[in-house]
Amino acid sequence: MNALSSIVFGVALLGLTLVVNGTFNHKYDNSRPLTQEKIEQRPVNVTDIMNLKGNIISLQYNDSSVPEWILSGKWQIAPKTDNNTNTNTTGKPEIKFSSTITMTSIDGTKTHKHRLTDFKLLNISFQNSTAIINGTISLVTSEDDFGLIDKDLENVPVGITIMNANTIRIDIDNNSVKQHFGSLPIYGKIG
Amino acid sequence: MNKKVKKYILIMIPLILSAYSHLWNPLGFPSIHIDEGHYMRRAMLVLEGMGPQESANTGYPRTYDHPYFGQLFLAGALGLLGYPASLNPDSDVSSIQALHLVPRILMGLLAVLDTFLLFKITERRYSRTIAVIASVLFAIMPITWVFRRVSLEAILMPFLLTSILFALFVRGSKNIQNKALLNSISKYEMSNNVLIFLSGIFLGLAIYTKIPAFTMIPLVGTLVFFYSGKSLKSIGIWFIPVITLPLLWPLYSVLVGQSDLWAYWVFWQSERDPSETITFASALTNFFKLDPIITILGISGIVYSAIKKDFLPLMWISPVLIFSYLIEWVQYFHLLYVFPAMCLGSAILVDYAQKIIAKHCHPIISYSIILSITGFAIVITSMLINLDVNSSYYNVYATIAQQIPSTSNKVQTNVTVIGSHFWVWDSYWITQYVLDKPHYLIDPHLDSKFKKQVQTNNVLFVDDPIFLKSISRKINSENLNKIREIHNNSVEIASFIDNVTSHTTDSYPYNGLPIMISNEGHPTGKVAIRKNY
Repeated sequence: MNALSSIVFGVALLGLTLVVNGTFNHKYDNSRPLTQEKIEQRPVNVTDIMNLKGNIISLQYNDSSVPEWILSGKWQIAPKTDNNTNTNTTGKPEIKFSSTITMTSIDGTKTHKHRLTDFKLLNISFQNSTAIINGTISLVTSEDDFGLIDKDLENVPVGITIMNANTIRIDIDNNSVKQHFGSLPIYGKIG
Repeated sequence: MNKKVKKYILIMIPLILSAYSHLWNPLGFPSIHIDEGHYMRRAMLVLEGMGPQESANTGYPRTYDHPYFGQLFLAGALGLLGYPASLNPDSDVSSIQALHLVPRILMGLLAVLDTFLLFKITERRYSRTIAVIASVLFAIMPITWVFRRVSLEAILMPFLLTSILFALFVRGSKNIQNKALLNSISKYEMSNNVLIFLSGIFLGLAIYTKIPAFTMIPLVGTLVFFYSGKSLKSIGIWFIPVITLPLLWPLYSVLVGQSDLWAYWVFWQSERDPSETITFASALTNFFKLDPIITILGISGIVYSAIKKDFLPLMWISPVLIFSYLIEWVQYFHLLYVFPAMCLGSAILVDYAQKIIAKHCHPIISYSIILSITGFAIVITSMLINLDVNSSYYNVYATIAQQIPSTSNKVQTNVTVIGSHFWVWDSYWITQYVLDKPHYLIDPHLDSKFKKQVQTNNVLFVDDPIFLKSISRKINSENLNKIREIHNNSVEIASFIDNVTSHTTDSYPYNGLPIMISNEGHPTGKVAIRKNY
């Protein structure tokens, strides 16, 4: 290696040292709650799910796993009183859930509607960013489907799961509604 | 004329043109891109001793989006000038302009260096005539204005070109067309291994600036391989810095316990969904719209070179174009890597055409092609770089800065700035780090559901069409209701019309001005500053 090569090589190594030094030798701020929340999703509580609402966006399949009905509609979770986190004497939060679901056959020839009202909360639990609400509802059915399901069904067990304050899954007890909503839950979106 | 003098004149022509096109009116044109604010903010962090990585807690939420050499280089260069303290910064418009001027002059100087490096590369590989043509095209063709912005592509370009140049100076092959240059003995000769290692270091630094620069590995690696006489050992020496330097980035994340964040944001960056306006096809279309001549000439020249079995220009552009096609999320300025190759291809073609004309006509006539192209390019580039598209930008910026009170000992001021993504982040680096006015901000783009609460009594709004649209959306958010309430009770203290694209017409080159601000969320129209204190 000639003199020029040695000098240039030395300067290059010095430059590399500066780059490595600039990368690592400084004050550190490794705090990261905001971004970590985005990746792992922060835990939710009653306040987070209160006043959520959105759309029902779901498909119902027949026994051969072929789509049969399109489910659409609205849903809402709201406090029973003005105070968002109000609790009753049993310590359970006073929330009400309601929904309207329109079922339209895939070929577009049949339509009927359901209303989920009179929600009674049994229990509510939170697992990280997921809220699981169990209770009962009254299922009111309108229009031309009376042959398949009773017009009014009361105290139908229902499970509502809110995931990452972004999606909702509604599990209506199959036996109570004579498999009316098929074997899969009803899904929806928040917002 | 003395040969030496002629040589200096020939190299000075492109350098003077480049100095004009890259250093004239840096404040007026082009518009300040939002990414310039991001890179300057990170450079300021380095200057403050906080290192190249923004805090995941208090910094920009998309933490690990690019490696670190961009901000290290900017901070190093600006720090040598005593920036920003040497400017005695204040909140007035002239101070805000001066703070933007220095980094833009730095980028202009880098572009002049790029011109010189392209000259040397082309001279080494081909001939001095082709070198002059290629570097003149690089210096003055209209799309060269993109190098005036503070961007990672512009920062890494001299490192990339230097890497190629060092590879071309490796001596172990007869595979060089210009034998006269190859055989010239210079007292400045360096050993092959040092040249190869330097080539690797410079490419490694380019990749450590922005990962897509790795698409240049096939080009430079092939040059090293063939110029070193197909030596695998040479490739090994070259490859060590090419790989290890960019690895500092993930290594950093491992050392600070944030490798999960690194992986998350790297995948986010590489898997960004293309939108209707951000696709590979739209990037190519915009590139063509900004500079149709260099696109047509460049592609023709690259094809011609390939037919002549010179694959260097093709190898230069192919990997980056394939990568861009695969990654999909591409904008016109991401294609800057191919611009020097376009100039090179064009120069090879023009040189060929000149030789044919010279055979049949007077040699002077043969120069008419490059003179016509250069004349046209000077006119078009002059039309662009003499525009003032940023005057209202500096006024808005200064007004924001003036309305945030100063604090001592970096105590957070009792002010939250709320506005569009463009304004809250573009106005951040000077107010936060230069003027020492640390403040809170709410960005409806990153916090689209307004989950962030207003933490201060004092709120400064930057009302522009994008922000006003974002707070008028139907969102179930108590925080948004609060923001609307504060907004309704705030008072307008100043308003400006952002004139960034006001010179747009249907004719070239002014029809390209909307492309200049495309996909960065730059609000145009009325920008009002309101406050509730």
